[in-house]
Amino acid sequence: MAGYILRRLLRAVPVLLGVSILVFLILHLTPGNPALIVAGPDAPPEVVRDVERALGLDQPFYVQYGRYLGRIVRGDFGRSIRSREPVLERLTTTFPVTLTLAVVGALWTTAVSVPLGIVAAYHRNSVLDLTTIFIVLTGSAMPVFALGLIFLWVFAVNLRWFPLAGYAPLTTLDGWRHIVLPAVTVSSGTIALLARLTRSSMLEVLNQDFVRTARAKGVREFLVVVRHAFRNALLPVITVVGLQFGFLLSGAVVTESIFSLPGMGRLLVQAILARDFPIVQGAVLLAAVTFVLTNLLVDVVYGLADPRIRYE
Amino acid sequence: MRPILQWVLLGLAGLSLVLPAQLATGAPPSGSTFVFARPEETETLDPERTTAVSSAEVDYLLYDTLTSQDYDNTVKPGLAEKWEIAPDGKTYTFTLRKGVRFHSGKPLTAADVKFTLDRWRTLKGSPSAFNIAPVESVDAPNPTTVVMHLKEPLSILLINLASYSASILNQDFVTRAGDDYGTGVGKVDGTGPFILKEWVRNDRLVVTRNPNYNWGPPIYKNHGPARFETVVFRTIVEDAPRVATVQLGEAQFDESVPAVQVDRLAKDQRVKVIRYNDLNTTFLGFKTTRKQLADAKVRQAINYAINKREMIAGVYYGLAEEAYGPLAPGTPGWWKEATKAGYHYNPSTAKRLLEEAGWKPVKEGGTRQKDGQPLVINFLYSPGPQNEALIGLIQADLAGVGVDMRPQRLEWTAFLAALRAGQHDMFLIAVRYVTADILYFYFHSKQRPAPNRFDWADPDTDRLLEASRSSTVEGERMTAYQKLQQIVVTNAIWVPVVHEKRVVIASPRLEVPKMHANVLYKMLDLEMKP
Repeated sequence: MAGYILRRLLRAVPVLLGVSILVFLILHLTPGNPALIVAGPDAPPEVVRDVERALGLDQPFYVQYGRYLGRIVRGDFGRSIRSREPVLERLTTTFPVTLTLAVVGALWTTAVSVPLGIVAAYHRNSVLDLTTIFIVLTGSAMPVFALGLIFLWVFAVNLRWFPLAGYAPLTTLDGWRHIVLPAVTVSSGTIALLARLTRSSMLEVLNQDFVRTARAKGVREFLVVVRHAFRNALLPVITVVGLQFGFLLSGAVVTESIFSLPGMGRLLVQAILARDFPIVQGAVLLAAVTFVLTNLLVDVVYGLADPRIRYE
Repeated sequence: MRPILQWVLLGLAGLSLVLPAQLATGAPPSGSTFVFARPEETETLDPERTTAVSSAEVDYLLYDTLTSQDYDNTVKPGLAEKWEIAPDGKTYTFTLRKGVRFHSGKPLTAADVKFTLDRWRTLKGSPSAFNIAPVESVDAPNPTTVVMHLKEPLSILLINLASYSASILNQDFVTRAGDDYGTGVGKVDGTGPFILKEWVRNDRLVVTRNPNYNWGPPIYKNHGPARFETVVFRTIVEDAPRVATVQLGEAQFDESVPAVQVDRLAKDQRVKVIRYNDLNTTFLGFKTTRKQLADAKVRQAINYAINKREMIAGVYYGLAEEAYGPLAPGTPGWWKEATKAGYHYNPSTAKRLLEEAGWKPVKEGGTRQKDGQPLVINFLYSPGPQNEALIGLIQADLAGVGVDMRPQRLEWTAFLAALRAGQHDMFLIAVRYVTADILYFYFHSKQRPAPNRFDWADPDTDRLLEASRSSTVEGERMTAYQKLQQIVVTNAIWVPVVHEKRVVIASPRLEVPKMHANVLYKMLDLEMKP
């Protein structure tokens, strides 16, 4: 297992290198010059040139990339063009917010959609099944920004159960109050998908011989469903949870803006608009690392869920 | 199955119902805390490295400047209690106020002022250093005297020294913090009425009252310490939740309210709406060297063709004034006659002028032509809250007189780069400037290609601009400014469109003195009624 993980990690290196080149290239090919933003719209040309020089933007592309790579190897991600703050410091303060949102979102998604999927499969074509499908589809069809604003209006403005904006770490009660609405909002789209997947996966398993055998042996119905059927229906669910996690990370961009969470999604959008190259590069690299690790984690969890899977 | 169902329902109920009930909202902030909601985040608290308004708002609280800016944008004493200007306008001698201390406890000396201004002048990549470019050297002959030597007279030096960019820094602190200066708590030191306490980027920035402060600018009744104990800047990007924070009492001030919501908010007892004239102008600029726009008659015709009143009603919900000159009313040096001399909506005059310039209609309602060339204008703009709607109206107005305007939308940095590269015939932009000095940046031939994006090169204009910039005699400067505005209007280098009013909402209990050009400036008189 350790060898397998190490090999996977080594294989990630060229992927990350490719990502960094691609981001660097895209940023430098996009029209718009960060020096113009720093200097302000009315700065005379010599000021813009000074700023460019100070930021090293007057150098050819390959020189800039080479320097960048050299610094990254030494653990230096540079400084933000606009705020002058070290990029790494900025990422380490914003990433936990987004990660918290994605993890709580993923937990909520799983907590809601897996039981819903199981119940719907068990009571296939019943009123309960149809109602479940109707509810989750409605939730997922609603755009995140609309749902977020509705939640804010109902739960924060009118009922005042939750704060309007801001963030606190989850170690405090206040932290939970801040994260509930955004997490429910961000997971609205993924709940439907996962519930439907769980339902179809369960349906397939419930019709198989070993389930009938278990029942014939007199195993309690609850255990038949949860231990025998669900465990076997779990594999596709794990894959999707892993994928959805990535989706939740990207969905954070809109959600973080609506709920004013100081996360990486918002940081990234601001940085792109301001052409704050070092921040964009750092954030994208961090996102890429997260995706690679999530994929690896999913593959490892496969093995735990299904002993037939072997790592070589 | 029943156990499963029970389990599922219990789980769902537990997660969705129990949590929120437990998490009831906390108490609203106490009277001594002022929460300021805004859509943008402070970038850096190194005042010499940024032009962002969201940073300036905080800089005014943390730092002081040699001079201060009054409500009418004239100059008043600040950290300098007085100054003398040599007759040739090239030497300024400032006498510093005694007893001023930085937040760290160190007394302010002339050495700190010298250090700050030298740093500002020479800081690589400083976007505002050009504001004191004519300063050649700064001396500190004794702890309370600062002497500035200029290469050439600079009439706006004193007002530039009142801007946040000229905030006086602690020499030892800046030297110690190096590149990190201004990036967080413990990396900032000033003499201002508030001290930086907490800064969670994109969420909140908290400052607390400086208890030793007693050197507030003379524009305030209270010279310090501030009445509020704590000021919290909260960044809330979306309009709806930001406005709601004031309605619910979670914040006492929202500096950016969409025009569309103003009527509704005016009826809401929980907030008070404050409308005020801000010194901004939204205008369309011509690249005057383009073949189809080189004739002033064409530019004047386009000025006549645009219906500003319709825009104010339809796009700004009445929260703007028609603009006729390059400066906003209220800017020192504003030319009152601009309103009379400017171009008022008159499509038939527009058509006549186009005829006179040789652009004839080919068919009824079609695009005009001259020497077989259609009157097509490549128009650049960037995304903005009103820009799309404005462009639609402008395009329709121009089509009405036979001008084919082809708008192209570019994201802000790309837009600025395209203007710099001269890819436009016309463009839409808004500017905000507290002094008439903007005329120098916009219309001097040396400022081409940007910010003189009009390609305007005229010896008379240059001469007047240089005279107004170097004269320290107020009357002379004002006369020169008036003449300059006349040139801009007569030659129709711009289509001034509107001066947008600014709208803020505040808690009804908040005592807001007059609105300052820098919004709440140092917040010294600001307080909550019981």
